[in-house]
Amino acid sequence: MTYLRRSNVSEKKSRLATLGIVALFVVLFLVHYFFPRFYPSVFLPITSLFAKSESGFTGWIGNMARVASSKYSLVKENDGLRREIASREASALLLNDLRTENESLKALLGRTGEGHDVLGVILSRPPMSPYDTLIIDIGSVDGVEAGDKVYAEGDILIGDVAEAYAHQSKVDLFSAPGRIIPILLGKSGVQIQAVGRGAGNFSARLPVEIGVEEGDPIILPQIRPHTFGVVEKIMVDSSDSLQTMLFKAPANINEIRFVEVDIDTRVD
Amino acid sequence: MRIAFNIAIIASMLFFPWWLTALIVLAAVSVVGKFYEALAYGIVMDAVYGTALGFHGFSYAATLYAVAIFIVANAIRKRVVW
Repeated sequence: MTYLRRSNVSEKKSRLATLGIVALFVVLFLVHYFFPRFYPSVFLPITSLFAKSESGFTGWIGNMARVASSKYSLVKENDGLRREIASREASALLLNDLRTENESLKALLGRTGEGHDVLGVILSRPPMSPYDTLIIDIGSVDGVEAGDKVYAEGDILIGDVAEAYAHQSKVDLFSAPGRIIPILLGKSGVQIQAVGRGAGNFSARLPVEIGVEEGDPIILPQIRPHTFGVVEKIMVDSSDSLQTMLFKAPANINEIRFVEVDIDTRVD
Repeated sequence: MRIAFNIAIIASMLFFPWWLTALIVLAAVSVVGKFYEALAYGIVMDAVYGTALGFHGFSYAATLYAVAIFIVANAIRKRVVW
């Protein structure tokens, strides 16, 4: 019997092609690993062009979605927002008092804590980004450097600049999952550590003996007082000596369009 | 089909949430054999949106996801008859 030998030339070629493609991607990854600024410096200017058109397109989709909402859900949301405003009025008054006292004490000691803010437009935000990062349209040509503090709605500290390129910058939000931030409880002044949970949400564990209530303000231990958050929920377990506090930033990361970058001070 | 998936992934990366991009990439590696572009898109996502802080300190989550689903999807495709 005569048997035709099975040709393995095509299999060898296919295997070589696969190895070649895998080697190529390994090289691409190593370039990103050893030169982490190379790809962003190439891709960020390109993505920023599309991001500027994105706000119009997704904004239109958002408006259409709101029109489709039922009246009942809108009334319910309205009631919830009214209750939230009422609960925050007391905290706002306390914050104003603390701010006034703080500024006068600093003036006595010869420190004002004023910075120099540069306005930036948010090009990309969560959930477009899989990480808790923002991409803004100002960079090193505008005086932005890594470590600069980033504010939303005037005085709400939301993050710091992670990487600054020529015309864009990446901002690490303080609420990035796993990120640890020292905070002060507004009323008691107790310093504890908060852990980011993503999208402007935080959690903190503190002893049950420390009095804290829903609506209490959270500030950062910096020379310039920053509104950092408002306590949303306290969870106490009778068998645990610690209580869990959940709070979130007053600024809604999904809705803010502009940020201010303080180019005179850096996050330590 | 490959071209359609590539266009959909690029559009999703630019305009839509990351989880939609992840779903489209998953569909692409499942439907299209040896969808190597998924690895490139993982690297690009990490390059554009990632920082040293990353996700719980890990800066290459998107790349790892792309590699993992590429390997798993191709392994399943070899064993499944459509």
